[in-house]
Amino acid sequence: MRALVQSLAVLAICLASSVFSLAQVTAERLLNAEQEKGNWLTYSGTYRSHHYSQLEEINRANVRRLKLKWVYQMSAQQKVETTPLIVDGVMYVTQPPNDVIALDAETGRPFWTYKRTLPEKIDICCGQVNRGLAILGNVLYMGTVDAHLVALDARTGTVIWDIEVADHTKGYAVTLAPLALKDKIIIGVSGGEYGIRGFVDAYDAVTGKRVWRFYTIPAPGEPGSETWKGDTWKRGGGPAWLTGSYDPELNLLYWGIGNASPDWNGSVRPGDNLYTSSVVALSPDTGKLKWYFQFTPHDVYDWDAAQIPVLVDAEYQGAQRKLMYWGNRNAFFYVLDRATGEFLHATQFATQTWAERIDEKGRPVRKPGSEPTPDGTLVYPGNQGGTNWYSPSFSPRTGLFYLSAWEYASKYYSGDTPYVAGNRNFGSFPADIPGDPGWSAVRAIQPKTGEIVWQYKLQTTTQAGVLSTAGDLVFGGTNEGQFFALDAASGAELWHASLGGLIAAGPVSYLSHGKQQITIAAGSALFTFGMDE
Amino acid sequence: MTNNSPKLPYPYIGLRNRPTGAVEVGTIVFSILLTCAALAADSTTPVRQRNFSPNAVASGAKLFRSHCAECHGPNGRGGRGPDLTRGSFRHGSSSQALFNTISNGVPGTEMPVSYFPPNQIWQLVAFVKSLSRPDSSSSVPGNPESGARLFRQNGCATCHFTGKGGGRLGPDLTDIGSIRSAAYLRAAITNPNANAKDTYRAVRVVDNTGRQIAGVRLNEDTYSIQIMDYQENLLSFWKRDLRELEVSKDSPMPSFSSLPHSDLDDLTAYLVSLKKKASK
Repeated sequence: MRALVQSLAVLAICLASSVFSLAQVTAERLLNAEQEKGNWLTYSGTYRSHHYSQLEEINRANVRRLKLKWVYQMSAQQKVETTPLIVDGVMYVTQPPNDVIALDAETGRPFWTYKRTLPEKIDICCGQVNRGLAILGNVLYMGTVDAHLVALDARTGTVIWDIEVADHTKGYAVTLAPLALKDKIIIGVSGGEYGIRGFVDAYDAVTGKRVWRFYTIPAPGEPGSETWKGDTWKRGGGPAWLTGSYDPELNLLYWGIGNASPDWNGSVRPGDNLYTSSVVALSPDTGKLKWYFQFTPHDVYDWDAAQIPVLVDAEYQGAQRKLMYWGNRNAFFYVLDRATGEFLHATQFATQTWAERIDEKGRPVRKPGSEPTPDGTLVYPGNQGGTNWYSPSFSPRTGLFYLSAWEYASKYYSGDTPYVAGNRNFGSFPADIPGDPGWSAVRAIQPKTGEIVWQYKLQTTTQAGVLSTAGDLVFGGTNEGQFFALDAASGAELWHASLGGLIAAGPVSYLSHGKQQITIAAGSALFTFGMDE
Repeated sequence: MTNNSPKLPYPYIGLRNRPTGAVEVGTIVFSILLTCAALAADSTTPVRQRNFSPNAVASGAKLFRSHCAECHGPNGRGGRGPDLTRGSFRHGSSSQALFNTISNGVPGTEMPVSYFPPNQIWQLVAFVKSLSRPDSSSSVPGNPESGARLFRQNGCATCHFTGKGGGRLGPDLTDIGSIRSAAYLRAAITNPNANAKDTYRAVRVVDNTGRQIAGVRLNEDTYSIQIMDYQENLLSFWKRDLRELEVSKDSPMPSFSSLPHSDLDDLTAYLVSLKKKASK
């Protein structure tokens, strides 16, 4: 009898552990990702999207001794924009266009590789890129450049399901890292350059069945449809190509919406063109709109609001509030109340010549003569904006908001274009300024005042995201492949390494064998650094 | 501005004002003929000069502006994408090769596939071809032999290599006639900053021993700068080790705008004559 009890106990333990391994990353774990400082469980680290690591082993005092631990060479022809996930010693990373690799986070050696065969004809405006994965249970989720959503077994890379989100021959693609939330996988589409009608979708994580869809361009009769004329809403753009954030207490999902289409020809779509260049707050259960805030009404510069919503609870003018910080492509930094969408304030963080000011409601007051014209209009910021999709970071220790900011202009031309399904629907084009490619900086913004506390100037523009850490460091990168660490309080340069290829990804930090690691993609490789043993 | 009608009577390649009803069938038949022609011709066969109608060029220009100019520049002079005014292209310079490149894109680059119907792709080919057409050497006034002499007399070879020797501080001009138009080259002689890219800028540094070095900037990033000094040495410096660093906004090349017009014609004719030996 005693033997039987013992056997049953062993069986129970086995069952319990197998159940645990079957549900490796529960929805509960994702909710409490802040308690797992050794892992990196979502695209931006946690649902608050601070892109911040609580690890402090690597800090201002010792970062100069940071050493390369391993390199993983990808076989990638395309720009690497991926941010890895790290779950209990395994790193999951995408290799463009749509391969997935599971690596040992300690050695960089692969467990498995999933290679996806794509259709021959893929047109995607800005490279066949992918920004990363979501994980829920033992399943990885990836959006693809042919506009599918794929579920893979995290232990083998085997496809569990593969569904079509939209028709890629009509300009749709999925490049963002999905967001796993409760029992759903949330994604948005790319394609603002193709006259799509954008949307955010939620899929059942188990079956791949679509649960809801939020169209970013309202149909006639729906609220907001009065901001579109005629049938322009049908190809009004409004992609949703960067991962959103989530507030569990308010049960609200926040998503940035991209540009109106055609990009640079606003004359055919008079009106504010909701919900382009906006942030929307949605119910994650139904996809219903709770509130919206439009940063750039009637955008004619391609200034997507494809940035990360950074959620911070802080005192604001004497009261504790649930805030949202937003470094927008239009060169303004915004503070919103994320419960209501109320505009609190906006300040300029990069050179801009298009707005006189942002009024008390949060609406820009345009400078006359800043619209695109047939002969071109020189406007700051340029087409890529004062910033773009590059992950910003918020450090609760310094209270500062960090981002990659660009100082450059474009000449914006107006024009017209015949809409052809699947073809680009730019309307016209922005041109670089010959001999003046611009430059960039990592800037630290005091959110309460909008003051730029410090900047770390770079020779050229940068597409790198930034990571702040509890070691009071800020990591960032350059177009030429230098990866650097700055003092989070002062911006002083503390360390850098030359990785030899474009950095267009966000750094992450995690623990391996109890030691802090920092990983960044550069060129076509993944680099991991740690302290000297 | 949108136009949802797929049945447009596009005039292209000498076919003008086709009756609307015949367009679709005509397009298909013509595409088949073109495909057959392409299969029959191998890459060593001289490409027959196609006569694109001015209407085709104009329609192509409009499509180019809305779909291609973002990368290739408003006048096809290049930007994020290659300069298309040179008349020779990495993925094939014949009309058919251009048609294929525009249709299929260039895998592994930002050059996308396109979903235009064949007639519109031919309009784009017509426009791209028109960008390089006026630049044939036959239309350049001036005497290349006397241009070669002026090239030597004015010291151009101090900085420019031409296949028969020369310096390395400026762009190599060995095949420049295959790469740049006469108008571009003439402008570059009279106003070296006219087409200034971010390369070939004069630079002066003072290192931490007080040594002064001047030359041409080859590359620069946040932390370091790579230079060719005026003795053609390759030098690199950590910026943190420099006392002074000056990068001129201007090209180090002097302007030759004071030369007589006939000399400028001759110099241009000489540069246009510098072509790849085994031309396609």
